[in-house]
Amino acid sequence: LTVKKGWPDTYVEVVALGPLGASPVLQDLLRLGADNATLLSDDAFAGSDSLVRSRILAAYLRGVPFDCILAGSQTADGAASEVPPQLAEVLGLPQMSDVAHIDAASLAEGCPLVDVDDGRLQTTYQIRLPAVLSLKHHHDEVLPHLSLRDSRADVGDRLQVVDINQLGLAADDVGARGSLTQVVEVLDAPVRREPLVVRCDAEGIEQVHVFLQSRGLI
Amino acid sequence: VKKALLFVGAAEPAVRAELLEGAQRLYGRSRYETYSVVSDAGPEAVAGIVQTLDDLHREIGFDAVLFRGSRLAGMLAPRLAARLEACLVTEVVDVRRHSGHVALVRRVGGGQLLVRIASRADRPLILAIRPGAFPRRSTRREAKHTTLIPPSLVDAGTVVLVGRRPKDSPGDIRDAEILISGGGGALGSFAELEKLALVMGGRVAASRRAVDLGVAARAIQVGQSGRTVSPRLYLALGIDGAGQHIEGLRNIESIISVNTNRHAPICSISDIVVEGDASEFIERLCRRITQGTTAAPEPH
Repeated sequence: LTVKKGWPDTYVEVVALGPLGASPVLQDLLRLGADNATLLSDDAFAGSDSLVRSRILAAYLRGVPFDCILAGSQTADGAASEVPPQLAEVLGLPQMSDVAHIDAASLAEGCPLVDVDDGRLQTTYQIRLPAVLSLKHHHDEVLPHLSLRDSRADVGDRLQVVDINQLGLAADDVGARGSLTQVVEVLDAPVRREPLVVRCDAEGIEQVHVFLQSRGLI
Repeated sequence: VKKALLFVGAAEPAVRAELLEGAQRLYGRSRYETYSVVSDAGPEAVAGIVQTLDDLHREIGFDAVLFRGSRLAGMLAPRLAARLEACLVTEVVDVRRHSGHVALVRRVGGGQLLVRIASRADRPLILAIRPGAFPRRSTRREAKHTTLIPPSLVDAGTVVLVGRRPKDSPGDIRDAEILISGGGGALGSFAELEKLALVMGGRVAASRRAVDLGVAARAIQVGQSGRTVSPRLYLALGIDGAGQHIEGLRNIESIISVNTNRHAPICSISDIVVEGDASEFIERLCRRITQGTTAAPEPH
């Protein structure tokens, strides 16, 4: 939307895969300035693993023109971030994860400079479009406020729902049946063990160091 | 004979050992052999690395490819799974085997899911193992074959590394993966907290006590009247952990507390309690980390 502000001929489409209950979110994004929204929704999609979800998205995206696909880095539940790289692979595009910032001017020119968080450092990459960029969530970046009047605007004509037939997919290729992996059980979070108590001496510090290393924290 | 491919960065013997342990848990008593691919490249080389792994797979036919979770692995593993039409499970914390079938436990948010791999799948398995989930044991054999990815292979041209520099702003503490947090027992150590944060690539946070006493800024306060944080590591120095402070800690993977009182409330929710003084701890840990992994610990 920032690019669109500076380059008004930019076209922004919001694409989501999910149940019809996701429409209010898409409607609000239309009210905030997106040009069009598409919800890929079908009962047959339920239970799809990340590769199947990527294929469903790709089936739609192959039919529409785009320069850049912006994705998130984490879903609210799984936080696995598997879909953006898989979508990029299915579409044959480059992809970058954990993007903290996109330089709007270079994006408008077709070769965006993106910053990726690397702990205390920031790494800048230049990526040739078309590409998939997965943005990292930042708490200090929030969408503009939607006024009460705007929140009532009718945007229904700019929201389309696309089902499995329109995408030309077969029911056997999607959902749980089309997926190679399946969640079979939800387990309780592991019980926290008694803490290890050490002293602040060479041996204690060594144990802390080993712990930090084993968890990939240093 | 099952064949497992391990993807390792250069100079990462610890990662190799963890992945070998992962392969052992997957194939246990059955016969298997391991191969490894070593690459030091970053995200700019994803296309080249995936191509190399794909070529190797065509030649050898792997049953499993194992990665250790990282940003690069997060970009590679899903891509490779899409390329090979393989079963992908990331954030793996455990492997369970029931009558010949493999089931994997993966972490989600604060909980865990048991993921079954479809048994009809004659497809390879691609795993990204959560760092530290499989503590390494010394008895593992080495990988049978090792392939190095030469730098010439990894230049795809679509993603170019432009540069690397310190961050413009430290950012919000809610976005930090490592928080070094100081409280009433570390009031004199806030400058040193910054030093440790720098060494560990983390951010400094504070308890309400430190903020009220003017030692730390309100923006970095953790707790009910501050921020709710979910870092991977919360290092609490001189923080007792009153209910209002603990309220601000959500889904934290590891907590280490440093306190002169080993019975302070925060100690009961910590993984490690270091009984001692905050500033001495910082000095010793900084020295230990900058010393590297190979140096012997200091004499008593």
